[in-house]
Amino acid sequence: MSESEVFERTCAELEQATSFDSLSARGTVRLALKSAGFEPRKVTSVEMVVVVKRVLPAELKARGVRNADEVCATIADRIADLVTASPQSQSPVEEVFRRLGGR
Amino acid sequence: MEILAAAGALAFMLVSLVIGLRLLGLARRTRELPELAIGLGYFLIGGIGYPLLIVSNRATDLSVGARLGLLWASLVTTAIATTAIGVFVWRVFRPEARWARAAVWTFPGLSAASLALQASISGMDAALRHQGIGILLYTFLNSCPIAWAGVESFHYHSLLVRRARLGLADPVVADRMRLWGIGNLCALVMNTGSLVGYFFGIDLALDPAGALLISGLGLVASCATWLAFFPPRAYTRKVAARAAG
Repeated sequence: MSESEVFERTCAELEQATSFDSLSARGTVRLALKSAGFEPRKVTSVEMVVVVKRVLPAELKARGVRNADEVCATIADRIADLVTASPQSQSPVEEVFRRLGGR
Repeated sequence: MEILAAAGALAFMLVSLVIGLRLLGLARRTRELPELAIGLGYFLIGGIGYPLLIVSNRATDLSVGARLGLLWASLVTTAIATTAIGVFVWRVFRPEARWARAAVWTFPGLSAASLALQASISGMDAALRHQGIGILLYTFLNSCPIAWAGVESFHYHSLLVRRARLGLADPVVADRMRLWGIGNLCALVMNTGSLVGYFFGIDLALDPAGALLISGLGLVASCATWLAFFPPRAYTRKVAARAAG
């Protein structure tokens, strides 16, 4: 089962910006996504940027990364180019239920 | 006691019928499969299947042949309805899962097999008294798509609530998912309760505690499903304001 491009890119950026190895970086991003209600396979770039800015810092602080906010801001900047490449689309499930309730 | 049970059942039938018609109208406009499938499910269960089942069970003045005809019509309609609900859950929540597709396409065959089992072993007249392994199996099978819908809706609700905290999901849609889950859960408990009752030779509608249970669940399911698919503006405003606050 392949993960999304933005997930792979975020993990690579996190690995580069910290002392994490590949496994730790992927595990940390996975946990951040899970607590935000997303799956690595389906998360979009817009969603990932928000998760990196608002959820990932706490995960990094919990793992002893001192400059967590700066690291996350840098990662968010670096993955931002993917946002324009793949604009956010609402989850199909959410879209169906919006139609069903007339909103 | 029957009147008490009937209040909840009647509310459930009316709400299912109205919502089914509304969703079928929506499907006519959008030409999308999900609203067609779920609209068909609600319409056939609430508008045809459940009322026919009640008449076949309670109208003892009718001839056995007429009651059996109504029972057959009810069972076939309900099987089509629950298959439609299964199609909705598969296409909306698990469109890529092979197991989900297989489950949906296997379901009608299993329902037909359970009815054939009833007809060949116990006879359909025994089904009027809720007796026979085939009819119990059929009732169990028809609970499965509802249980599946309940699991998926509560799971997705938990995801959407977390996303909504980050501004990445609509809290009104998250709430709709919760309400639909509650409706499914109540329907499941009603079905399972009746199944267990039949197994022990008890008709819940005639039992005081059972009638209270059916009535309560029917009313809760009706309210939750109505709010999910026909939310008054004041309610959606309240949900949005609560999420914003």
